[in-house]
Amino acid sequence: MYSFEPKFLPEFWGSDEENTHMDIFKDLLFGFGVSLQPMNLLYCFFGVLVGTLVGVLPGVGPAAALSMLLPITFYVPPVSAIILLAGITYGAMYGGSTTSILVNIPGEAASVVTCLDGYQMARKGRAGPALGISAFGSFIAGTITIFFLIFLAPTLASFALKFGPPEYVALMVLGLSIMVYLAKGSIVNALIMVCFGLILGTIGLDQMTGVPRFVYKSNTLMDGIGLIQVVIGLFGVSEVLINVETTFKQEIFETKVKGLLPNREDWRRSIGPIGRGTVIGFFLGIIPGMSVVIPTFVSYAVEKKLSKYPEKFGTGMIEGVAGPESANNAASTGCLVPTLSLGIPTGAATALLLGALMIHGLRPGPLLIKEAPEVFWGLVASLYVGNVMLLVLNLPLIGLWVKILKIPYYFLFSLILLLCIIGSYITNNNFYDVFIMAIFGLIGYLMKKLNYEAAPLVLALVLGPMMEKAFRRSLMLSDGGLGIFFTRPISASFLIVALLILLSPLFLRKKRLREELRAGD
Amino acid sequence: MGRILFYCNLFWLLFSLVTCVESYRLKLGTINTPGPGFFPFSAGLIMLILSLAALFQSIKKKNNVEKTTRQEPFRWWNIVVILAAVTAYAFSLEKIGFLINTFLFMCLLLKVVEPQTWKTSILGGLITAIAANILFNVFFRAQIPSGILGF
Repeated sequence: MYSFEPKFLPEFWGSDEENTHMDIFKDLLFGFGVSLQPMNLLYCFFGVLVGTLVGVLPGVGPAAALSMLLPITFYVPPVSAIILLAGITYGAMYGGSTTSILVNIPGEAASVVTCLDGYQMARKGRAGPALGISAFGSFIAGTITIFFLIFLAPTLASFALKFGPPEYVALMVLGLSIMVYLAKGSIVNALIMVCFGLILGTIGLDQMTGVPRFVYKSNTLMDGIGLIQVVIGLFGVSEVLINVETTFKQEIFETKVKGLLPNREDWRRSIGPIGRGTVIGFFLGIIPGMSVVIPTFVSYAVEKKLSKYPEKFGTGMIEGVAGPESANNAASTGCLVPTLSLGIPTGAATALLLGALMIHGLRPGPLLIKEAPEVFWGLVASLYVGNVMLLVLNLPLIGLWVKILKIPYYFLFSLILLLCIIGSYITNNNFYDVFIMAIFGLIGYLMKKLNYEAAPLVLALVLGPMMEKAFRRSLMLSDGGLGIFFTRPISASFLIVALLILLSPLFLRKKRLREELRAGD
Repeated sequence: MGRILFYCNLFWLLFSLVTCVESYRLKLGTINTPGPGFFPFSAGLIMLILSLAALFQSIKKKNNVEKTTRQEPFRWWNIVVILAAVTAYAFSLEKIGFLINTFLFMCLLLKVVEPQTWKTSILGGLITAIAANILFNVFFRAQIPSGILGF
C-alpha cells in the first residue's frame, strides 16, 4: 500500500551518530508521507474530533471511547486505525479543558486541576484567554514532545532488545507497582485489583500448553475475556449507572466567550509553565502507571511553588492553566514511548492502543519500529498533524462544544449505552460479549461505590498474559531457579525499585508516627 | 459502609479460594516446567493473603464507622432497568434485528429512566435507530444483524 520506503532515500555523509540522527529525520519525513495521505488525514481528523467530543462530555473518558471505536477500525488499514485511535487520546486532552474552564466540570480526569484557576478566570470574564492558552499550551507541548518521542522511542527500543523474559517480568511488576502506589484508596485494595486482573487474564486457552482454563464449556470464554468488553463495562457503563442513580443536574453556561487570543502579558506569564509542563508531562507520562492525570497535579504544584504569588493560585492565575494543560498533552505523547518501544502500556488507553496493534497483526515491542515503520513513523507524524488540526479547529469550534454540553443527559446516557453495546458486539459479532460488558458494568459500578480503582485491574488484565508467558519462560531458562530475576542487573534493579515503591507507605507511616510522638513529647 | 466492606472482602477471600482450588485442578506442574494452573494459583494465593489482611482491617473498622446520610433519593430501579435492558438487547439482537431493537431500547430508556413524553421517546428512538443503522451498517459495514426486517 505504501510505495515509498525510508531506506530508498539518499544516504547522508557524516559520523555514525550524525547518520542516526539523519535517519530519524528521513524516517520522520516518511512518516509525514504516510500521515498526509488523504485517507489518513481523514481518520486523523475523525479521531481528534471524537477525542475532543469525548473530552468535552463528562461521563465518557478516552478509554471508554477508544474501546467503543476500536472494533470499527477492524475494517481499515493498521496505520489508519492507530492514527484514529491515538487522535482520540490526545484530542480528549484538548476537549477536557473546555468544560473545566467554562462550567467547572472536568470532561475527563486529566483536566480536573484546570478547574481550579481556569474556572476562576472564566468567572472574571477571562474565559477566552484561558481557553486560548490551554489550546496553545497543548499545541506547543504536543509539538515539542514529538521530538522527544522520535529520539527516545527508537533508543529505548534498541536498549530493550537486550531484555530477556526475566527483564520483561520485572518491568511489568514495576509498572503494576507504580499503578498500585498511585491508585486512590488503600494499597491492599489496589493489589487485590491487580490479582483480579491477572486471574481474569488467564481465562481461555493456555498460550503454552493449549489447555482451556476457567472456561466451563463456554465458547465465548475460550478466547479469554475481551479487553474491549471489560473496559467499556468498567469505564462506560459504570459511569452511566453512577449518574442515573441520583437526579443528574446539568449546569448551563450562559456567558459569551470573547477574545481567545492571550495578550502579551498572558504569554509572558505562561511560557515558563508551558515549558516546564511539557518536560514534566512527557517524562512522567513515560512511567507505566502514571497515566496523564498525575503529571497535571505535579505541574500545578511546581508552578505554585515557583510562583511569587502562590497564595493567588486558585483565584484565576493563568500559570495554573498553562502548566497542567501542557502537561496532560505532553504526557499523552510520553505514554506512547513504552507502549511503542517496549510493548508495555502505561494505562487503560494505551493498553487499548496496544490491543489495536495486536488485532491488526503487529507485534508491539522493540521490533515494531523496524517491522512496521509506516505504523510507527506514520503515527508520530500524525501527532503533529493532529495537533495542528486541533489548534485550527478547536478555537473556532468552542461555541459548538458549549452547545453540545446542553444536550440533555437523559438522551446522552441512552446514546452512550447504545454505543457501548455496539462496541462490545461488533468485536466478535457475539451477543455474549454484550452480556460480559453488562457484568463488568455492574462490577465497575460496585467498585466505584466501594472505592476500588479500575485502572490497576485493566493494566493487570493486559499485562497478565505477557507476564505469565515471560515468567514461565524465565523459570524454564533458569531450570526452576527464582534467582534469575535477582541475578540479572536490569531485572534486579526494576524489582528493587518496585519493592521500594510498594513498601514506601509503610516507612512513611512509621516516620509520621515517630514525628507525631516527638511532637507529643 | 463498614459491613459492606466486610462482605466485599469476604467475597474476595472466597473468590481467591475458588481460584486456588480450580487452578490446582488444572495442574500446577513443577517449578522448572510450570503447568497451566501455576500462574493463576500464584495470583490466587497472593489475593488470598491480601483479602485476609483486608478482612481483618474491615473487622477492626466495622465498629468505628460513622453513619452517613444520603442527600438525594437512591434510584436503584434505574440500575436494574438499564442492566435488564442491555441484557435483553443482547439476547434479542439476532432475532429481532438492529433497527427495531435499537428503537425499542432507546424508547424504553427515554420513557423509564428519566421519564419523557411518549412523543419525545418515540421520536428519539426512531431517529437514533435510523442514524445508528446508517452509520454502523452502511458507513462502517459492521454487519450487525438486520433480523426480521431484513435490512
